[in-house]
Amino acid sequence: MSDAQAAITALFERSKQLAAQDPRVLTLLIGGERIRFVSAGPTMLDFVGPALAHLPRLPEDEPADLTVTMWDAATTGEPYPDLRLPDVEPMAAGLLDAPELLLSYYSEPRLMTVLDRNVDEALFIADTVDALPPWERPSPMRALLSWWFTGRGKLMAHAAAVATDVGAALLIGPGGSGKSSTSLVCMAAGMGWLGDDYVIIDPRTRTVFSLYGSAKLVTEHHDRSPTLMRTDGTIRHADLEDKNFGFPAVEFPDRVCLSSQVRAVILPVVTRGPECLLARSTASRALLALAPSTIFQGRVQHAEVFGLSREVLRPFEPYRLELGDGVEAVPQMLTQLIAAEGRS
Amino acid sequence: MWLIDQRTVQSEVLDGEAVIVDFTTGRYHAAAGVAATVWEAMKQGNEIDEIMIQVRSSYTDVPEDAESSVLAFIDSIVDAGLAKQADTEVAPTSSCEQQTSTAPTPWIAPVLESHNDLADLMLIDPVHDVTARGWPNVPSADS
Repeated sequence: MSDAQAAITALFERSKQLAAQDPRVLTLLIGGERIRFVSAGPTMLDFVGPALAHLPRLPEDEPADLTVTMWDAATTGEPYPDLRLPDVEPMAAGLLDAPELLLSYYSEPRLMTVLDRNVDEALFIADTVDALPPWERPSPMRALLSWWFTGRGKLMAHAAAVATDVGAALLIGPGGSGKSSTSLVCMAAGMGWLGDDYVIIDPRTRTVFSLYGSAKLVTEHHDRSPTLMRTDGTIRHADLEDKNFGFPAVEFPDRVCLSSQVRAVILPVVTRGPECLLARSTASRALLALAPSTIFQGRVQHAEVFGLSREVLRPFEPYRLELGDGVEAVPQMLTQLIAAEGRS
Repeated sequence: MWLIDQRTVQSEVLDGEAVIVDFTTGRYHAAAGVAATVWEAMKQGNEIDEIMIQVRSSYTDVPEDAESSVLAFIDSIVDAGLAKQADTEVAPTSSCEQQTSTAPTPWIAPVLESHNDLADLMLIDPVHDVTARGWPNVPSADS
């Protein structure tokens, strides 16, 4: 056993001991898999809870496919683990990709995620939740879930999704393409809402699953349509546009759709034209819209994620959604498209 | 002859357009029509003469000076870090196949369309790779 493996093995053991002292257990069905979170006290579970609160809760004695043990130094009094990791600049992360272990970490604020692929066990450890990166609350454990679902043959896609009783439309594109606005407009119009930024997709069954109940909107867009989402916080970065985030799945639980069969793939693009239009796009443009940003969310397993992205898109002839004036027409357009694709 | 490290650069041709993703930089690219044909031929390890044979047999109205356009496109591929010139001759993995399309496609000078918008993603949640060899053996401050 290498020094790294020995250190991680000891950390898993110590983390389980800490969690056993005041265990708070939450088992959820996420992406069709049973994932158990075992928290040392309530702090970490309370932190990740809002983003996952809409997902089906399972009995505590239900066998789990993945177990995530989580604790923070501030609550437990346990010193933050010293794994002699190289320093990285504040708010940047380091990544260890060993054969069976994946580890990502921040130096400042101190946060660590470990996945042992051999035993489907993970750790999520913080110094204090008060200082965690601002994007961690609306979409917690993103890298960890991306790594693990990839190993299960499912894609944690950088995509939004909305649905009717017939099926779902997958909304793909880079940041700023209009995924969030489109999904929230559709939700407000009564369509089912699966997610704004990340969803799980099983390419074998073409099923899309809800993941996070959060949504993020560039502050300017949010200010234009404040009724779409109540703001719970703002993600600020010196070099990027501010984004407001909220938890529409908590705010509008009756609009949440937990899973659906994908019927259509949509590439939104903000055109600022006189109207909103749907037109055929191409398979290559869809792959360009989905694969790169999905690949670089998890930062490892690049080839596997690229392959899963191809598999997810293969059955579909994608559409381009030009977002101009009159976005209130979009829900009806997508409802009709889903119905038409569902018949074909 | 050009070498493409397919551990770090992956591509797929769909509807006559190549989608190329560079895992090391986060940049991604599109190459349509003639450009996709040239890219696939490069991947297969073909020389410029073989690449031009395929281009001329697959497209109509190919100009006399098409080779200079193709070489310029290949330069853009190399400049983007997607391929490098092989030092020694390497046997091609397969020879160029002639396109069997019934409708001839007119020549359009090949262009590499490059995207760097994931720099935003890197900014907001950057990750620095650490190899297993570099961890946990961090040099001490006084070493």
